[in-house]
Amino acid sequence: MRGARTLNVVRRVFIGLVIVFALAPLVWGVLTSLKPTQQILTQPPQWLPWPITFEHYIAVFQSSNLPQYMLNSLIVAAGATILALVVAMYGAYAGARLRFRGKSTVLMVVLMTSMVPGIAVLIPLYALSVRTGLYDSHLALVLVFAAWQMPMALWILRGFIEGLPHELEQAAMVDGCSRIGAFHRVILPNLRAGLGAAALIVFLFVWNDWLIASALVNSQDKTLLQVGLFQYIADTGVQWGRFMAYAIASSIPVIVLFLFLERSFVRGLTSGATKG
Amino acid sequence: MEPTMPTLLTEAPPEEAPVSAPARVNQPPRRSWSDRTFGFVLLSPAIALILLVAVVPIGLAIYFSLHATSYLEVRDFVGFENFQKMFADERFANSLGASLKYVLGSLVLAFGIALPLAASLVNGGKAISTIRAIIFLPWVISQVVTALLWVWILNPSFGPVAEILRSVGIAPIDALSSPSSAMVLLIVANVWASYPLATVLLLAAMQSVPDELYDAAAVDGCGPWKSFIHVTLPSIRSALGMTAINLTVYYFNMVTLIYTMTGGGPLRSTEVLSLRIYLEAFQNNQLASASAYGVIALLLNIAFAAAYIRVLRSSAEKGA
Repeated sequence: MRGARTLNVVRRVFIGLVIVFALAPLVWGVLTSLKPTQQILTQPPQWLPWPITFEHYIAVFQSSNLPQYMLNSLIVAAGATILALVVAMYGAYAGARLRFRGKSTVLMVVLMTSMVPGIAVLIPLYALSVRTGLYDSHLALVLVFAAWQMPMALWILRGFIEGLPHELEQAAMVDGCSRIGAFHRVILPNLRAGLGAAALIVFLFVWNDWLIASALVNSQDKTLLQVGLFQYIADTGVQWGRFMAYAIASSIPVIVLFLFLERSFVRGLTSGATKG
Repeated sequence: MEPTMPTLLTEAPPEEAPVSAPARVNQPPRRSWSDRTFGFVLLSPAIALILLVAVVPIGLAIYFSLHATSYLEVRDFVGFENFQKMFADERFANSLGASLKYVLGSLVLAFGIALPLAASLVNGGKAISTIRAIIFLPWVISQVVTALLWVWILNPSFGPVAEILRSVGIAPIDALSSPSSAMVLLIVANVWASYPLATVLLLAAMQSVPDELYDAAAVDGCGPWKSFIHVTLPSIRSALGMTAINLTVYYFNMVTLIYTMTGGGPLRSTEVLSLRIYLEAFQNNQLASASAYGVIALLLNIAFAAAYIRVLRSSAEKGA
């Protein structure tokens, strides 16, 4: 029993250390963003901000294009999420419920493409978008992001549909629904958890992406949030209070989303990874 | 906005089911389309999107890599010249080495945290979801913000880490500007944002290990450590494999965190292959040679994907 108690202590200490590791950079960033400028560059560091000031947040919202960038990211992320989910859910239904030759090949290809890395196809996508005139448009971003995340969404949704009883559709079809009607009327309403989980992951990906957004868009009024943050760091002199305010402000929407919907996130991630 | 959608909605099977409503429950209604046609119609928008962002671009990347380009203009076919130049370039070997260090270092550290953490949390009771939410938080933070937060907390003059080092008598160095330590800090920042995913995946796998196995192990006199080795690890083997491959692919292809945190420096010590592609294309404007690098990266990714599918298949067979 002594061993078990020691193990328990070790366990708790370990969890405690990991929590410190997880929170320290965030907490230090938040503290910095709330400090008056002269308290930021001190040695030894001033640990707590006093008086607390919101000057950096106000400055960032007034003098940078943060609000515009947030709106752009919101529009593109919403568009990409809707497109990816609509395309993925029909494919997922076919993958989960229909039996036909060639299905497993198609599904394997879908899974493989979810592993095609952004960097490997970024150059051709850039060249393609310039040739087709889609370069520097939100439409290009919506298409690429949606296509990018669709395989992952399809994989998640297929897992969720497989978990639904066949009797659902059979009953609907007896009542006179076509197969697609049965999908719309009985499967979709029961797929809310899966759609929510997939939507969160797609949305988060788009909100946080810098690579694709920086390669495919270049005018200021179309810039997405992370690209905007990167430019802000490059263009402004070193002002850590401002940087941290920008970084925290740009992260708050996804942090809030995550804290409210943590369960859904986790369900999506684990179903995507553990379902064969 | 959704050019691929309308075809799907308009080509949906004709709604004639009411006319031919079947009498028996177990008999499917008469269908106008075979499963195969219907399946491909439902999958066609997905296939179109995949063609758009994966198949066509991969073909183009190979095409670029075999030609000379000046900016976006494709000139003469040059065969494998771009590849020969790349293999002769010391930056190629350097980037492969950096990638290897980055991926392996991150994997070791990520599993070093995630595995014991998942094992500590698996019987955590009610606190588990709160703790899981806290440790998961870094995962939702973008790579640009992650880089910024870590550069700031590691600041050798004004940061808390340097202050703690000073208080125990160690003189802090500017570790990000030294080639030997920059990679280490980069890995720490990377793992900070990525081990949560590994933890959640492993935790989910551990939670699905049946209790009876642990009971049996306890009857056989296994303590917590032994039952972890003999029950937990073998039961989550495929989850371990899939998580490792997922993380490998993710780490191997990262650009943003590295570009923002070190820019590949100092002295190219953190210039991994993926970053090399990016710099070659978007700083040097050498699309052809960047594509040659890209093709190599793609081949390595195919190897990772093949490994992933093998693990997936073997776990499916075992589960059946």
